[in-house]
Amino acid sequence: MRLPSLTKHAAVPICLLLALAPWILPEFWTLNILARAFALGIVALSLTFLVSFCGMVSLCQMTIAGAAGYTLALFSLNAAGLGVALTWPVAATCALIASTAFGAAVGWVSYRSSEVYLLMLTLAIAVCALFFVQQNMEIFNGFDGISGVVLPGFLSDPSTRPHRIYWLIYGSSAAVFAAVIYLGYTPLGMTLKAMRDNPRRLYALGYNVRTYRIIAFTIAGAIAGLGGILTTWYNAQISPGTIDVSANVAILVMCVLGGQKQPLGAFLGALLYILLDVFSPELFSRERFNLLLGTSFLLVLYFSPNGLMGFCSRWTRR
Amino acid sequence: MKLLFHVFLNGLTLGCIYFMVACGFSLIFGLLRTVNLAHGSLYLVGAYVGHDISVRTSNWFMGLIGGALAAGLLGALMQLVLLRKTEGDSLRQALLTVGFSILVADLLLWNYGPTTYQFDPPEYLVGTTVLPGFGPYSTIRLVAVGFAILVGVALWLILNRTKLGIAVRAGVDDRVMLSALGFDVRSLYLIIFVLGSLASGLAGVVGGSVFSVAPGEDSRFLLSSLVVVIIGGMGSLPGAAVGALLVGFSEQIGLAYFPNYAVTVTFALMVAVLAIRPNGLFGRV
Amino acid sequence: MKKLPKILRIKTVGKQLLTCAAALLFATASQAQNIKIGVLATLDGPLALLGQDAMRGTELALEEFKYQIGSRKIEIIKESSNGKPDVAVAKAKKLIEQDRVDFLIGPLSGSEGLAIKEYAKSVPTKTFINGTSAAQELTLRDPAPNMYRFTGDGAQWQAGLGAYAYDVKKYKRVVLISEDYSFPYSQVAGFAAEFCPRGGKIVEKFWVPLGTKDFSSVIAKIPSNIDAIYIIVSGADAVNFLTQYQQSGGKLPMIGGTPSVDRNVLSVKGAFRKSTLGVITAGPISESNEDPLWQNLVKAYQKKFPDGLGSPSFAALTYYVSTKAALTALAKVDGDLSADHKQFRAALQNIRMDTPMGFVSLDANRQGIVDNFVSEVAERPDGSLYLKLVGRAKGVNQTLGVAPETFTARGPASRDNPSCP
Repeated sequence: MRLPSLTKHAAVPICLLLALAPWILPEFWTLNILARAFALGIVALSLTFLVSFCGMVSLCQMTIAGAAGYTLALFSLNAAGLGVALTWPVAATCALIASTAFGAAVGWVSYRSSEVYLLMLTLAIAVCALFFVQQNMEIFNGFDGISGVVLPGFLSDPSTRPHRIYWLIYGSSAAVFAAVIYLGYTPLGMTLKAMRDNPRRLYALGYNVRTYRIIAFTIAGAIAGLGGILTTWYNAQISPGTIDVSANVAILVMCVLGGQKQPLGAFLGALLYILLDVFSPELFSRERFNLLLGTSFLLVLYFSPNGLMGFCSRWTRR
Repeated sequence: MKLLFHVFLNGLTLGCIYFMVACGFSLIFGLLRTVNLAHGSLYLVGAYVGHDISVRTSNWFMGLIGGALAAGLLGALMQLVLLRKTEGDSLRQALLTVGFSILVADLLLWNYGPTTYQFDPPEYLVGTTVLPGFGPYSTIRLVAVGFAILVGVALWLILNRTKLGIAVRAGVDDRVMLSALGFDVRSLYLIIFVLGSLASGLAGVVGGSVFSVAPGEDSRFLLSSLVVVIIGGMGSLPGAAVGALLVGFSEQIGLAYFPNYAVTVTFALMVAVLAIRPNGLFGRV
Repeated sequence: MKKLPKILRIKTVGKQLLTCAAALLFATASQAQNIKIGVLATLDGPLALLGQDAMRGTELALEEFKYQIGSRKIEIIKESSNGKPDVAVAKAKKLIEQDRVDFLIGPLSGSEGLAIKEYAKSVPTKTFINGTSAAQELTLRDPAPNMYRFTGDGAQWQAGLGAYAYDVKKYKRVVLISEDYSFPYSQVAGFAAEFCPRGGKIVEKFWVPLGTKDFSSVIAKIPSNIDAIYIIVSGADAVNFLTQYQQSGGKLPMIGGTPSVDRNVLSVKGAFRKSTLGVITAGPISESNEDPLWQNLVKAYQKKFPDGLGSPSFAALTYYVSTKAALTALAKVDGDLSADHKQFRAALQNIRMDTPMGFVSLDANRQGIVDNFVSEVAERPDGSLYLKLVGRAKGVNQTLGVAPETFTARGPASRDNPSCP
């Protein structure tokens, strides 16, 4: 995976600037825009990872992130009085395990599906999970979701929380981003890319394609889970609305808007999405946010020559 | 026993509306290999425009025709502008249709507002019919069955008794060969897309008369078409029919006997079919 | 490098937006003497129609105060949610943290209210005044010390209905068909509190998932030996249910929850309207209420919003009352929002005023003690439908007249609680 030269040269100053953001930018910017964008960006990164490394588009990444979120909420003190309260490291670990397992399950169920079938299957899984969570009162508290999730000790003081939660999210994003870049240079990463390019060749070489698909989804599940944990702590709540179809489509939109082939694209796309969400009332009209989003998405997809489309052409021409 | 029969009828009538929407979706995928995720939007356009026209002309049938035509036009637009240039990239096309559906949904919301609209079909189409040995049943739902049969028979005739139909069925099996034999595959694509959109628009008016017209119906019918076509099989008309009936029954039985998890069960069924038989029960693709 | 231009483009756009935002922030900071009120309602999603009406209610209240308290002008910043709790919290955060509003009015739906309550607890320096949200748990258990609700909760909104259904209409056995979430649970609790002790029975409860459009199989399951259907669905789903019930040949009388036959539903044109005649319901509104405050509000609504719903819905009324209470309290302290709103909150707690929905005061949990109206859907000579007043319960508190310990001991309202039998 080659980084474009701009990113390589600008990487260090940009990272430094972002780390210092709480002191440079107004609090609303660090907390409500950047922190949100990075947290969602991690979930979008899980999709970008699947697309750029493995050529698979999944419409249930937010659902997988939500699995981590719900697990975390249920294992923390919450206003709904559900679940068992554990210490935050244990709760977070369980959440991560839940999302990784869910990701592996999705990979296992979908190993025969490719391209559009995978898209539809993951969409079906997302809807299935949504309705289950929405209808179940005993564990998931139905439509109201679980609010008042108590944050870990180091985040509980309202005066330091904005800075600390920003650094937590930013630090995690940087770490995950670096991990994904690094993965590209490892044998595992190269195997996954080979699977993307020509699974038959890989199979002929003696690799078990099915296992690698499951591995890919598992890794994506872990990444999405991290994003889910951070968004749940950030919102201090989670509800079916967090994992519904439009939330999953939004992750796809972020991935495409930012550029599907680059992990950085996930974060850029998330930032653009959040900016549109926050500023469309001033720029255009509060109610027409979807119009703006749909149009941008269409235009980018239609005119952008690279990325998902490029890969897809290679795939179908074979 | 009476309840079961009632639920059976409900499932049948609901399945018929699903069939009208899903048959277009299935054929479009079968021939064009395009997953038209804006298919629900075509339904909604048919419903809103059909309602608008039926109110202006005080004639439900005019609304029916108008709604179907509006959906057909939109489908033609989609195919010509969006999809023709990106032929071959199924995934990109699917994503384009996603973006298009977001756009269309918001435009409809902008124009018609969030109000719920109700159709006003002629007296003899609404109200209750007394079925022998059973009792009263909603007439408009039985009318929906009639329309579904109409659409099904029309499509069957086109596919099996016309030259166009032969070309389409050949194309579903092997597009490249069809093109090599000298058929104008592009206009074929356009015709099938328009036919599918017309059926969807028609379903919009009929479905809108049985239920009502409100924002959000597009996602609902898109998701149900997805389930129908995946269970029944892509590119197959009988598959769409069987799938639609299965989904209709499962939804109504679920609602009657275990309402809490009815939808979960329907989608779980779909996930199972996709995992075991990725091409669906009658799939040809 | 094809990706380069895109990155640059996005960064340029980002920079432009940054400058815009900075300019806006500076601009708004300079008007420090204005009182900023954030209003949150569901302008998107399935409750959009109610949300639009809610904004109308707020505007009517603001006009009475001429958008001014003492020497300070009032600035309104509207935000829209879509019924989902996380979106509501995100928008509330935007209002509080970006727009720096002094206090927030809203939200509209029950689930949103519960999420906003938790958020309110994390922002103790700002005040939150509920809009319509009628979830019981907002104030009944573990309330937020800075959140005030001047309107009733779901249970209070059914006060008087159970008694009327049993005593006057002589319904003894009813069946419940309702959407499956927290607001209807509290409505059933309010209805059952009067209906069941009198001997009434809710024979069967059909909880239907939110978003159900096809009720035909539920309708098929309605048992034969019952007197009425107690229906709690809202908006488009209510229209669907009534239509389908009528088409299936059903003739049972109905009891409606607050949103089931409200102004929103009654203003939809269609054949189903015939089946709404005679439906009894209860809530903060009765359209034939002769209280001059109500009649004046209706006239003001019709004058200012000729393309509205024809008469305020319960969303418009609750937002009107909430805004008016907030502004009245603010006027009493002459706009003093210092010391973390200390004076303002004391004034809010002491509100005792006559409103178009009757006399309103607050209890110790900052929950409104309100009147409730029982109505029947009737037809005017010109064919339009309206809610005719048939009964009134005065001064209903959150525990419905029962001792607080006894009431809370019953546990939170849920699918099976209460049940009779």
